[in-house]
Amino acid sequence: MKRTAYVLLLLSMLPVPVLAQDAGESLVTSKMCYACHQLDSVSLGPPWRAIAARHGERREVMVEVLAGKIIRGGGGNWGLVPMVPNQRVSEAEARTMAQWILSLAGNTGNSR
Amino acid sequence: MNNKRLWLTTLAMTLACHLVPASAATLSGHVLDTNGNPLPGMQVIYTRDADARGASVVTVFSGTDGSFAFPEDFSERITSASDIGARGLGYEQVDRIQAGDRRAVDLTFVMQMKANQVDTAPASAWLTRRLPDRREQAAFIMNCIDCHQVPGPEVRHYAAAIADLHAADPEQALRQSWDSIVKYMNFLSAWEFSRGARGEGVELDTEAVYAVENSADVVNVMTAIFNDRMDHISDYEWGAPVITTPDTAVWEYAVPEPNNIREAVMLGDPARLLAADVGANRIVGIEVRTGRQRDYEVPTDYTIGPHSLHRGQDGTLWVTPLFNNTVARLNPDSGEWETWQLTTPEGGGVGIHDLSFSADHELLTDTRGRVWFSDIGNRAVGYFDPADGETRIWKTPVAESRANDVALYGSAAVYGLVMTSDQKEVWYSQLGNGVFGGFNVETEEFIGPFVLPDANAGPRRISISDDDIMYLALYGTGQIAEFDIKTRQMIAIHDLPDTASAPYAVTWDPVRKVVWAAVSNNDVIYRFDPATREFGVLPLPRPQTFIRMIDIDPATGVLVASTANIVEVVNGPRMAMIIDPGDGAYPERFLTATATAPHPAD
Repeated sequence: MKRTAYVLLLLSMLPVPVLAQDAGESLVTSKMCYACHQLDSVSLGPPWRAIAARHGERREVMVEVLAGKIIRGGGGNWGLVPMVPNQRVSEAEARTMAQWILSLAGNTGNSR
Repeated sequence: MNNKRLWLTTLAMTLACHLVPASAATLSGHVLDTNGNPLPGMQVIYTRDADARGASVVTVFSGTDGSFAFPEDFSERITSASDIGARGLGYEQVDRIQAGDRRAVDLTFVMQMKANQVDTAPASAWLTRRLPDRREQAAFIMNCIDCHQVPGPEVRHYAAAIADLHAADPEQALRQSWDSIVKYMNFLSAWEFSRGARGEGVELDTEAVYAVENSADVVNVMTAIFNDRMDHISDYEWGAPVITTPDTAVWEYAVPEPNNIREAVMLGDPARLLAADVGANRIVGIEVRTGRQRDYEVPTDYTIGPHSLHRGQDGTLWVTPLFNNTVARLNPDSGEWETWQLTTPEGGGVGIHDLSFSADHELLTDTRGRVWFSDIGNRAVGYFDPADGETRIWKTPVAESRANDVALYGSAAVYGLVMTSDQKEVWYSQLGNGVFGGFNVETEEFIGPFVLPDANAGPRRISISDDDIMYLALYGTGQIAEFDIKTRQMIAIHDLPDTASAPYAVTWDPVRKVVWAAVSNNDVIYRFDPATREFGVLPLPRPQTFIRMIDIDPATGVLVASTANIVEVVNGPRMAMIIDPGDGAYPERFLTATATAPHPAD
């Protein structure tokens, strides 16, 4: 119990966006997003940094929009290939990934 | 709560448990059409709560009077909230009426015929309609249906997503999208099959194992035939009589995900389903009576990817790997393993697929105790001696007429293997080029090769009767080849009732004297009776069944199999299953509550 409280205290001291970023980056790997997306280069789908550049300014709304897109898939405005749905991704996971993607706006460092 | 109250409460609860017997409910009823007429051959499927003891899902079938009855009582209380439904090709359940009491639940299902069979027709129904040319059908099946059904629901939903683009150039949108999907699936299959090794930082090889090789051809076909919303199909029929009876039952046991369950057998006392997980390094054991699960990790420091299972004559389980050189044997009662790492005298590796087995579907050695195997990597057959690990292989001869026709899989992989009853010959199938042949283990000479009419025939897992008739599942062309080993003559090649059903394996049934065909692209099992040359259909409980090799439990005569959906995004079932055909061929009716599966020799 003591240990849990200590860990929670430590976690509470970390800036939240950093946690979300790490979790999001980890999720895009475990959810096999690399099958279609890369950070900077065009793969089967658009690069995450390009998505961030396009939508990064409306982050609060776009987190929800992108999270829905991750789960439902479907056609978009990045070309002729619809995105596959990801029904095994939860809404919370999708939101975390969307936050990470949007956090890449203006971030040119290599985070992988 | 003080100690005295706690003690009294415990005593009261203990007494209550003894005084009020656990409710055990029988579950029976009728399936009717909307006019109240009985509907035979309908499935009634009970999906139990995750904590239920025993099978996860139990399915029975209605008889000619529409009645059904589950063979065993259920200990849990069955209410209107319990997940029980009726299903049948071309029907939709519109009502469920519960009567009786909590000890004897009586259910009536009302079914309405539905012209649009999109929810009940199998994937093969779409291929037979949209790709009727048998040669094209075979080539497509050989490329596309290793990991899941095509076009399963995910494929059809994606077709709808392409249609919804309303692209200015629909052809271009189709081609680009299906091309992307093929690449996407290659990545996913590499991901799945590296599961057991991913923690070691192994890079994904997206061209490995189940990568689609002829992707341009595949994309061409998909562009041409999966070109609309794919949300309507009608008039599909099974193509042969349904053979279920009111005694037919299917018990399915869910295997926790992630898994790449590939095939299953039943062994041990108490009886366990043992399922091979090809994506990891384990056999999943499921106790039939309780549903309790236990993993049997293969004791190797590398992943063998358990793939094919063979029952030993001594009640042990022989396990062969996915494309490497380790054979393992498990004693399911003690949990002890024995492993052999096979190396040829020249120092080469082997890629074992199947071990030699008999008409009883049990491992059969030659007279010197050597275990024979098909070598998918070297296009060879070979043996290893369990006593000292000695291993030898012989490369199969090239079938001249197919010498330039081995485009599929880039090889003529040696796949299935059986041994004749005199233990003198092994016979093999070659998946990639439609060839099969024999090998005399005493003279060390090949017999044949024999060439099937279509290079894409796709002979996969094979079986042998007690009269040395060999049956070959022709995956690509949707047929069963019946070959007399004694006379070296093809008796006949039989079209399955649905030629796009992609038969993965055939199994000789030594008691019923029939052949069971497990198919990948349809949600049924076919029964073939060589005496009458007639087929029967046993519909399974759910879409995307993707069933693998069927084993027949020698003590009880039930069929044992598993579903094998092996890409995580495919929402198909991951189940090991027991199927009682309900034909009265064995004296006692199988019940999971009493299953012990003793070996006949015990």
